[in-house]
Amino acid sequence: MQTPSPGVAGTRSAAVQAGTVGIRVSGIGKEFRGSKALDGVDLAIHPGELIALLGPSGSGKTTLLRIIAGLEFATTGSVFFGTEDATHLTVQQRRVGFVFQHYALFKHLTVADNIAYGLSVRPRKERPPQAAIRRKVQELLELVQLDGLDRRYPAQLSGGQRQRVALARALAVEPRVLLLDEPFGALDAKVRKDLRRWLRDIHDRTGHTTIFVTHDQDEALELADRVAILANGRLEQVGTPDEIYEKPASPFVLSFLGDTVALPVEVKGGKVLLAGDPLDVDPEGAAEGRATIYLRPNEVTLAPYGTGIPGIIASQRRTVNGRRVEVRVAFSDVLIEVEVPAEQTWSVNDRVGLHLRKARLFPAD
Amino acid sequence: MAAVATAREGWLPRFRQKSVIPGFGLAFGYTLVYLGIIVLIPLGGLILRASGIGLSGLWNVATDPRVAGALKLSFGTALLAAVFAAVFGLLIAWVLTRYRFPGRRLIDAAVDLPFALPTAVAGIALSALYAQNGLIGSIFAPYGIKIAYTPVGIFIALVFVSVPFTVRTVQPLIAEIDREQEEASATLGASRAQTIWRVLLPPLIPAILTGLALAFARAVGEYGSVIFIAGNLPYISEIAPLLIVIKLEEFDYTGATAIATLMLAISFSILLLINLIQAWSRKRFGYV
Repeated sequence: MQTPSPGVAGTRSAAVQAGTVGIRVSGIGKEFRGSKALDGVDLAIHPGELIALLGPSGSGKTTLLRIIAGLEFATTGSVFFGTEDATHLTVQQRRVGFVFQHYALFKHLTVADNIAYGLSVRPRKERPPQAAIRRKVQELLELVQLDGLDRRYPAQLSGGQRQRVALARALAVEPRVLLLDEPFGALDAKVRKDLRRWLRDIHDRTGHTTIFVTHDQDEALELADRVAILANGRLEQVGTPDEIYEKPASPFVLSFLGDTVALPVEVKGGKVLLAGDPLDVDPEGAAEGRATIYLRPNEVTLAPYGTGIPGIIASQRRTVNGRRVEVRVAFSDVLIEVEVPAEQTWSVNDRVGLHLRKARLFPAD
Repeated sequence: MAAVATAREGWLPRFRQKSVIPGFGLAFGYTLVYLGIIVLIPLGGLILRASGIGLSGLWNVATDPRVAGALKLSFGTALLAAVFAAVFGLLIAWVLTRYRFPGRRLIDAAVDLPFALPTAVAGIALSALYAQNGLIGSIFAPYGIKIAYTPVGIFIALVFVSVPFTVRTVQPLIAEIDREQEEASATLGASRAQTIWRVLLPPLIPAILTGLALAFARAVGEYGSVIFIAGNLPYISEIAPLLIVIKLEEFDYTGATAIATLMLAISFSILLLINLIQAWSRKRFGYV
């Protein structure tokens, strides 16, 4: 029933919720008054998968989520829930659970009434009896670890508690998919971390196909089975956290997933040249011509001069965990900050070799 | 600092609230003086004057058919007008805050006109419009419906003068409604009507009641606009404030103050009732 997503099968086992479906969007485009928010996005999400839509603000990630939910309609393209074409279904017909960044709880209703809302607005024929609704609310309160708070009003809850109520309310209608728009965006760092683990746990227990939008790289990598990275309305890369981190498809993905330093080089005759001198770096079949090496400071180690990329120590400072050494790469203005163990001591103006765990070479634009 | 605070606390031990803003004594004293001079002393004088005839005298005035008819008419039309204005005002406020259309600012400004217009002007304009040969009155005249010079005319004049209150009290709250709440309701499967009834309206109820109370208070005391359109037939379209003026012109000061005291008592009980409902609804709808 579930297509195992590459690289995660085995490590994470989510029991797929009965009734949850995969989602496929194809060729989604969205224009707002002439400017393109999304441009030809294709994405397939497996049933029971937890996927992150990651991107900077303005990348179109929230718009894509809202189009899937039916809160927004695409200018072009279609949305499929399982095999059903949902492109023209209204938001009510789509049966999605949506969690908003600012919770959007109903302030005039108690926690219990908020959670029961989706069931109580159903037409009389489909509405469960009062007792069944109460039971369901109780179950969900336990699931989100808020038992005993059912008679509180949203104003009497903390931010983290409100977001849990919002999730319980979304789950109450037994949605086909769960969509979360920056669910932890308005919370402080400590609560974010706790809720992250908690959401993963809930997902593994309930097994809903889940899409969440975030601009936080850490959050996306830690929480999701797969991450879809968007920039300027286009899908840059989709893959497991390991795939996107180890094999970024573009300089954008690379630089978005943490600090990088760009070093302009040239590829000539199968060698990588820095200011005309060959570097001890494998070009990995990169095209001839100007190119850029992207260095992740945490993938760089320092070695004696004569190996790797030559550089000169510009400064060094002691930190709690070791030393932070600033190295100027030879023949360039590029400065790179490298963390080294405290035992390693260097002096300013020492010549060193920079070793890369992995060279990431992209043609210059 | 603490020593100073404790020393002061002895002075007004029960009311004093610890606060970073100074001037509690001054502000509280000013409030009492103001309330006393402007509101309580005149009202006290009124009651004192009326009490000259005693409770039985007051009862006699209240049961006089002409007075009873006027009071019934005044409070009946005022309540009806306030309720109508509350519904209608909610709609105006909704349209003005939610929709963008050409001339919105003009209409928004026009809502306040009944505040600014001398009420006599409004009364004359309305009676000209609604008289049997007037622009609107002539439409209804062939069907035998008379608007001006009947209680219906009074109702229309009262709605006119009280509608700004109901618009302005709910407008800021409508502007504050979070779109995400509507979207959340829709994702949970609620229809548009269910969203309005169950999500959008309940938080507005306290403000609607405030508007209703203000509109009612204004309508009960309204004089200028009503006397032109009412026709002022005793027992049929004579409002209580007019009856007071008539008594005054007859130098029957005790009778005038007696009617005024009755109006005061009824108004106060109705306003208190609305306030209590409002306090309850605030609690009910989660304003904690």
